[in-house]
Amino acid sequence: MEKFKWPNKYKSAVIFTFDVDGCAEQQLYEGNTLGHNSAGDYRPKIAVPRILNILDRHGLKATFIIPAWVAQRFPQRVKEIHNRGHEIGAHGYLHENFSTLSESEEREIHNKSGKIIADMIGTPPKAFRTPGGPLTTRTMKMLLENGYDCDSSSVKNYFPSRVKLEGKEVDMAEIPFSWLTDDFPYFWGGYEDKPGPPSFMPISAPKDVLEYWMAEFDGIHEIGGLFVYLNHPRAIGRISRLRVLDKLIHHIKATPSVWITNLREVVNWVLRE
Amino acid sequence: MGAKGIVKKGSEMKFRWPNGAECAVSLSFEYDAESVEWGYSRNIEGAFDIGGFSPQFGVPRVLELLNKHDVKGTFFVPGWDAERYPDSIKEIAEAGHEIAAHGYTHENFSELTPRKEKDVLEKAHKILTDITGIPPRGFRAAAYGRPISAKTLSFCRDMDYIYDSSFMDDDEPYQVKIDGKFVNMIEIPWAWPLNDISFMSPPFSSGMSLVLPQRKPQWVLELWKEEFDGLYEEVGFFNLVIHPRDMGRVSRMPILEGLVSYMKRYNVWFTTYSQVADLCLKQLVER
Repeated sequence: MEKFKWPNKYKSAVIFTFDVDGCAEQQLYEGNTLGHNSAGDYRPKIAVPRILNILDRHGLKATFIIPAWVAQRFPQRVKEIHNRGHEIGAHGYLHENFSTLSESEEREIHNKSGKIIADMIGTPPKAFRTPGGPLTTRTMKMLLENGYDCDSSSVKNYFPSRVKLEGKEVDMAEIPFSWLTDDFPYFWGGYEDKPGPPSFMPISAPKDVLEYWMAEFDGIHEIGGLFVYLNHPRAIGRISRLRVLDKLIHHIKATPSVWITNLREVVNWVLRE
Repeated sequence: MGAKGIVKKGSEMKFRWPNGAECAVSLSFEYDAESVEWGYSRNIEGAFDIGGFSPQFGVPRVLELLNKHDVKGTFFVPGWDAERYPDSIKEIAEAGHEIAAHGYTHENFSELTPRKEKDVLEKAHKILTDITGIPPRGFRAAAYGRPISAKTLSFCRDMDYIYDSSFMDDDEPYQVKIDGKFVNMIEIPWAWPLNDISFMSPPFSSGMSLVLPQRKPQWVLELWKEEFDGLYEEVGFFNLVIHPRDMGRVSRMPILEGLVSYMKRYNVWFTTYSQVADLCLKQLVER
């Protein structure tokens, strides 16, 4: 395995990303965000300000990936995220599964959601993470047409790379995440967003999850990889869990030779000439 | 306790609790006898009779615990269960606890027609009022993971309810909006990690596909203490949802007592839902 080279002789890198999905799926599949379907609103409403405070306290910049419909519901939050120096990435309009849509339906959603975010913060999104379902070559081509230079939907590696499309390298970086450093499997809890019979997920204890994350970070640092922290404010946003995020950041900061950066910097590094 | 200052308490604590309490603590109990299984499957025989554990064993143990610690709780009671166990409901009310509405047979309100929904709410309201002599003042939706309808809150308001507890979008009470307008009603939100069903529900309960790992009681207590520490220090509101049919087991009741004893060491206000809602509404008027 060839070693991935980081700038300034850093041994490994860390970035933080947050998927602010809101109640998009409840709206998409059921047209109802009330009662027990309201949990998604916890993210933009309560959790995002808390996360911004933690990031400020640690001097970190992150990427917030937001379906455009959620951005429309909470425009002030989106502007606040942007104004405090964080990147806004695209995540569909209503957290759609693009692989189930026709080409024109998908194109319409990319156009619409990109425009909504651009109108809100003055600049179109350049980073994308596919909301649900597999990422297709069709999606990748549309992203390139729309000026995106980053996709973060893959989970197959610990290292970022330049995307190859039909055998040719393109101006797009792949920033792979992992379920292990996603809060979803640990903290989602309760009913899953999808329609159908109610399905529940086990809830972990915050201090146990800190151990999973620290072990994974230590291992990634050892091999010189990229640690992509992917969290959903709905799940990580509880105080007990944010304290774990805080402890994780302390742990990362205490490790020498880690490039603690953000998605944009890594994209620029991958796509440098 | 952990690192402070993630939320900056004070600036965001919207309501002031009596006697300078730092945190309001609401303990709620879903009565949920056989109405749950009846609602889902019309079957309460064999292992589908698990709801019977609530009135027969769970609720009496909960009442003993609350009495011992001089804490008042809020019990959400489906009307169908109240009809079958009126003496049990009366006993809860006479001990000074609050009885609140929870549908008739644990319905999924998002699937009812508006007319049917109104009938269910009014019917359950009348049953509880007739038994206790006190009209319920609040509602929590049953059927986990299902939304309420666009009409539910209006119907509750029409019955003079002052709170709803069906939403999951906040850590503390807030004023309800109906059709974009604030009304005299408080939302008291709940969360999965502060609901015992997340950790101790049996695998074949209620006809729903509920399959969750069973957690050790002590493990759950530690998680709840972690949750309480954070909410006490940075939010000022702690809302626990307990199912006597699940929590009422002999090996689990000690952790509920452990949690109550733990919280009593802090400057907290143990309160019922209507006390919280009354106080919040009063403070909104004074603003």
